[in-house]
Amino acid sequence: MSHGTWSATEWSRRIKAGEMTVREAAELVYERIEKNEKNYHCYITVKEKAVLLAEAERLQQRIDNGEFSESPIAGVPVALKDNLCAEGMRMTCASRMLESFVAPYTAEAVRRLSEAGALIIGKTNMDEFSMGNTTETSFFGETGNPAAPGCVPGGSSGGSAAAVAAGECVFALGSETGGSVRQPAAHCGVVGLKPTYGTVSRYGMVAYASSLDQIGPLTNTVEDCAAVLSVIAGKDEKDATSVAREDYDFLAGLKDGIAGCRVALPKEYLAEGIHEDVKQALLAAAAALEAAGATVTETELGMTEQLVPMYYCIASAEASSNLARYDGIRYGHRTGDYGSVQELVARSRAEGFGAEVKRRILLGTQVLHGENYENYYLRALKTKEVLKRRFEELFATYQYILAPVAPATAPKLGETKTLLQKYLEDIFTVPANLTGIPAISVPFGRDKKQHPIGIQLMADRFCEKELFRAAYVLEQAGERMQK
Amino acid sequence: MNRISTEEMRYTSRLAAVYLTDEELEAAKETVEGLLENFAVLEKVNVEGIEPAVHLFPVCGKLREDVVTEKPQGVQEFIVPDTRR
Repeated sequence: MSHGTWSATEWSRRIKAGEMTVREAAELVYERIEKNEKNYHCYITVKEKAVLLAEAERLQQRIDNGEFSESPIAGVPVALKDNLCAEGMRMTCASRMLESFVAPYTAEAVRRLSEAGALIIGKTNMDEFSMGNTTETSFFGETGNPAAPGCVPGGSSGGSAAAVAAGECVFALGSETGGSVRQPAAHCGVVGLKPTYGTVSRYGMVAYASSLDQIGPLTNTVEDCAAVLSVIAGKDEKDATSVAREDYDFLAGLKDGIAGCRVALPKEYLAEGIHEDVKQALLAAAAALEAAGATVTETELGMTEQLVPMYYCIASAEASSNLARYDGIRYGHRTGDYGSVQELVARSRAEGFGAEVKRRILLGTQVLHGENYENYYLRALKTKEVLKRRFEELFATYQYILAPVAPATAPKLGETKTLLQKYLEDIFTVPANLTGIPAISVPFGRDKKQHPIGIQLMADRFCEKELFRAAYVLEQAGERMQK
Repeated sequence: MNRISTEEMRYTSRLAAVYLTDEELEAAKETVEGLLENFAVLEKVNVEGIEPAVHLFPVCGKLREDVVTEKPQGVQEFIVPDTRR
């Protein structure tokens, strides 16, 4: 059985048709883990083989009894980013702070996967508390990129992206705050989606920046991505920001094409600072969309120099509040070196958090106190409103925005960059998080080193169906290019 | 550049409840100063009369019935003994 040509929906079809068993699917993936994990370190926690196979057998019985007949992912092995709660499973957020924490409940998105018959393999590596874009800030060590040897997988959902690329799962869940699904998807040559904010419940996902966080699928195909979203999306009373959608059939009309659609290509994205190979891929993607009957127009986006400062100001402020719960008192790492309660808390946090997390907490605290609140945080929120209106203007004319995902392909592991250089790499992904719109990264070609390039499409809020349609066109064009 | 004094950074670290050594304090001061310098570009956008975008969609007063719907079993066994030195 070859993994590479199979998708989650195809595996599920075969399992339900009796051409494959859940046990065989689990064994195939586990074999990949046993072979590859020492090279890639995609996982922080993997279920014991015996436990997994026993679960596979139970799932098989349920499928044989007719359950999950409507599920597009029944029986399929899935990996979860290690910031998603699964009851009884260790959840670390790749941090010393939660090194031995076990989740007492299950995230809503994970519950929906289980109710659809997916088989959870384990919890994947990530940047600590989702803060980073290389998966190098993980307390448990870095993850390698199966599609670009010697390079990072991207982040913060790097483990999930690498696991899909390595065949160590068939699909995975990651999460986004500023591009943490799309960017690792691009670097690892897989598909990654950030849904419209509110589409997938955040209940059971460890919060980084609550107004920006969203769970998203990482898959081998656009069709799989749509299928997984149709399972995990849904209004949830346990998440007050969760939104009811009229239609959750994201697979419908996937292959209908985009003839007559209008695509905006921001002029700023063709300027300096983007690697030539990525630029050529972007232009080739524009040509592919035009060949499919769309009209691509260069247009000015504006506000590009405010994007990253806006994101880091808002995200770090929210993070400083969200991570205040980690105090070493109720759960998590507790220092042995303290003389007072205040010292217990301060030293537990100093020991439990890594450098990047502490940096963002301090930055966030700084922009929130005293006059800074008005001068930085409120100003960033007002600028975000201006950005939102700009995107609303664009979507009054265009159905899609075409963009790179990252300025270059995956950097080398351990590559030295200044903090600002690292932060600026998020410039193409943060607009979707700041405005709440859906955005997808689709593999589209390779650079001269044969490392994957991902191209991004954005659509208006609640337009995932339209987004998948265009992504499918791009995916097909990208595959033809590779042949 | 808006300089941050050592005293202000120490205050920030107290608010953040993160213990920093003197060396870490100075490094954090430099880093935060640099990033705030970068945030100055936000002033180029005219935000007069603009309300802060706290929520992307209208979200107000979402309530649900005051009924327990989930009660994880043995929560205390999970959580409390996990606090380690």
